[in-house]
Amino acid sequence: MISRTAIPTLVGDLLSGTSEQVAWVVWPLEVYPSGCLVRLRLAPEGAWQEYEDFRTLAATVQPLEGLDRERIVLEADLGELRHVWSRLPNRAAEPATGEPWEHAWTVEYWWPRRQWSGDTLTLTWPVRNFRVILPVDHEGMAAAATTAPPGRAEL
Amino acid sequence: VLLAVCASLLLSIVAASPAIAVPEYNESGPAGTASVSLRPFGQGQLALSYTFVNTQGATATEITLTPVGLNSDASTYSYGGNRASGMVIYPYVEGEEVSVGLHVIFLTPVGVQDNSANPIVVSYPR
Repeated sequence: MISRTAIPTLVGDLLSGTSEQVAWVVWPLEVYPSGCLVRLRLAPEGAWQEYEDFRTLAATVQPLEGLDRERIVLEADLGELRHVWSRLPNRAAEPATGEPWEHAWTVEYWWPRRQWSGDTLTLTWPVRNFRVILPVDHEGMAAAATTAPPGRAEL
Repeated sequence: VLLAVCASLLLSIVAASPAIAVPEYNESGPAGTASVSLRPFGQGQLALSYTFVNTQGATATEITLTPVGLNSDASTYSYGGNRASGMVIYPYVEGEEVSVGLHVIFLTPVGVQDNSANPIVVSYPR
């Protein structure tokens, strides 16, 4: 028997837009009984800003001293969501391949259920003056967290 | 001192390159696991798969793949968090002896660690 707690229910729609020359997309929330995973992608438009070292690039997703404004942050009512994983862009000037994530950040954050509050999330990237308010279906999340995933046979 | 030891263990995961290049490389230690393979993928292609999972402090990983004999350029992939996983498909001419070198950089609490002195190498057919 496979643990049902590992199988998510998707809630919401794919949201997308462009702000401050950064194209963005947020996937439907992956809802689990204990919380939800928020997955998003940010793709700057225009000339590529080359990152001269790995540390500066890594600062876009984690706190590193002296590089506070570089970091992409996702916040809920009760505080910042925890960054769990990200696929970072190629820091070189030219992509080595045509893969769509060569110059984009694909980032996942964990939003624990005990901290679910409010109807929005705020996505910011201070160094680029990027700020987007994302609506979330709080009721849908709560319902999905307490209901078994649809369309899956018991194994 | 503890952090230095962790960094040393971390480095040892990717520094323990095999004496003879092989299609598969697997290492597991106190700092995590490293797994790399180079296998046929359909007609005239090889797939390089890699997974690095760190359990002791690394918060970001950068991997540079350098193919030899595969008529492809080097490529770099970066990840934030404690896991790095991916697959790259290379065109392959049957019968050729080819290889891919993996240069791995971990960003740790005590600085950057890398295996540039002893990169992982996987080869095909053996």
